[in-house]
Amino acid sequence: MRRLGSSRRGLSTIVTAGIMLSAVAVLGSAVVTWSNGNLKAFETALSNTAVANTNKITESVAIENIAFCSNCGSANSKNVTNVTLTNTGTVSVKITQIQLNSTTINSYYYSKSYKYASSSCPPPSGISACLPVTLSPKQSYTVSTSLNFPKTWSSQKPDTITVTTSRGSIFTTQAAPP
Amino acid sequence: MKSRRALSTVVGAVFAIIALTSTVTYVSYSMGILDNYNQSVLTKNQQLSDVNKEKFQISSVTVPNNNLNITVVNTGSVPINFTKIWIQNTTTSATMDWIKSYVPIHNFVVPGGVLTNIGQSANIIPTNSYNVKLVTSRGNTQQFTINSVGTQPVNIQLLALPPSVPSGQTTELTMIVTNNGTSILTNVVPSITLQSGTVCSAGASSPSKYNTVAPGSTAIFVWPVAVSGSIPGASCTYKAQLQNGQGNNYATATINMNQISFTSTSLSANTGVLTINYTSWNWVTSTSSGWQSSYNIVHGANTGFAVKLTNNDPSRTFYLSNKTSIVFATYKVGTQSVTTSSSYILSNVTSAATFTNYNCSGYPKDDYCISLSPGQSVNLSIGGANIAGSNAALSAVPNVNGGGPTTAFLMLYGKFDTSRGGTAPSYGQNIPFIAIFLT
Repeated sequence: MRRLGSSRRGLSTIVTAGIMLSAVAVLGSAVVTWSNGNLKAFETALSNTAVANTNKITESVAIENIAFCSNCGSANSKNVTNVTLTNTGTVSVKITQIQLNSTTINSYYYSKSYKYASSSCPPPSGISACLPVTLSPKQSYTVSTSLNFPKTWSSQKPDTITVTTSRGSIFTTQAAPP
Repeated sequence: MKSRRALSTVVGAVFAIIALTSTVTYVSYSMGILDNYNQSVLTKNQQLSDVNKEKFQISSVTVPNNNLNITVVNTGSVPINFTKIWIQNTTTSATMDWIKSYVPIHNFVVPGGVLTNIGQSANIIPTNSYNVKLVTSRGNTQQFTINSVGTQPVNIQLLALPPSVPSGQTTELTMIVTNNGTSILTNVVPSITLQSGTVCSAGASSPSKYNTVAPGSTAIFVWPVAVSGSIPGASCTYKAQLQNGQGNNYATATINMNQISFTSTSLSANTGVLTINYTSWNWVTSTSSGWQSSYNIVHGANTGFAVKLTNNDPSRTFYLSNKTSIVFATYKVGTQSVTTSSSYILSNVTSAATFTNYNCSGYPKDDYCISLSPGQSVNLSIGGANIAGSNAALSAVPNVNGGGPTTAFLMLYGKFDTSRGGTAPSYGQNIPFIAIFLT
């Protein structure tokens, strides 16, 4: 009896141990897989955030020159301002928006004769003067902004020019028409 | 039981190793990402620091052969690479749309170095006004104007130092130009014009121009102004402005002409402007052996006198009237009588007692014939029996009270004026003549 009872306890213990091991293995594997997945997701998010922020702080745009044009578009219209931008950073920059005194520019002049909206840029031939545009490091670009009638720039009154990039960086300067 | 504990330990250890490995890997990766981000921040800070360290000054701007020649001094601590020049024609409002950009050929300058010939590719007209902007590779810019003082008036002061001077003296006009704008002024050339008055004459300015005047800096120009005239209290007013400057951007200063005075006392009124040199006194008769300097004079003889007369006025010319004469007069002690006699001015008396009449043409005839400019001396000849004209003759020395000690006075008449025929007030002065002993 002692031998038989002892043998039964051993079997159940083994079965129990087997079940426990299986459960632990399954649950443990699931936990490990889940945590690894989470870590991977965190890694990816961290990497993307870091890269985005790194690029954002690396990008640098110089508003090189502001030229207020009197006779672009039409004579004495005083609604065209040529803004020359230069990428002085080490990564490419996509310029998405220019504002003149908080007015977002949507129209651009290619020359004295032609006016374009953002959707029609670039013109069929010649130099584009519209947005958006992607500037490589050291590259310059002149945006020919056009204020919609009846807005014009005014002599001796300071204008604030704000440039926004696709990464959300904002560069601003002030200039006064002659 | 021993073997079962060993199995669970192994299983736990495997899971622990997996968990630890994953955690360490994640932390290491995160640290790497943060390190990269940190490096980017440091690099960005370094770039911004370099942008702030980048400093340069425009030292001169010239336009030889219609080409721009800008000289720049790198005053910062990092090398500078100029990437572009923007030029806008600001001559008139109609030319404002003339805006061009050039890539400079000479574009690199080390810290402390001087870079010349920037802008040689820019073809401009030297007489036009331009707004020029230099752009560096780091995005810094510096703007200045050529042949223009800009669209805003600059601060101009004009001072006369001193504002009041006697005739014949020189004062200085000092023009102070302060660049109260934000861009560098180049080729700053001053200009003064006489607004009113005729007694002032301005010379050339020193310096003739400033190549550059930085914002907040001051340019100082000085003109010597000679003042000459016969009317005390006369004044002149000058207007100073900058060439190509705004018409209403100017300053004025007034210079007054006054007289030299000693503690509020006019020199000519109290001290006497004309003096004689007593050691130069001489007389001559037809029988004397040439000029004599002795105080013993024979009475009754036709005698000519000579003495050196000096005009000590620093600025005015003295015209000697024909009324100028020597008057012999004395009282003899013990008597109440007085004897006077006059000898009038002559043009000349020689050592042989020959004389030349005091006469001259023009207006006024035979008067104010001799002039003494400021500081000038003349050998004054006296002895005529008549004041002037063809009737002049050497006058005999009178026998004043029978001889012995006597005296004479040199009576000087004339005027300080700018011409013989001028209308300046007359001026008379009595100079004690030398002691004479009549024999």
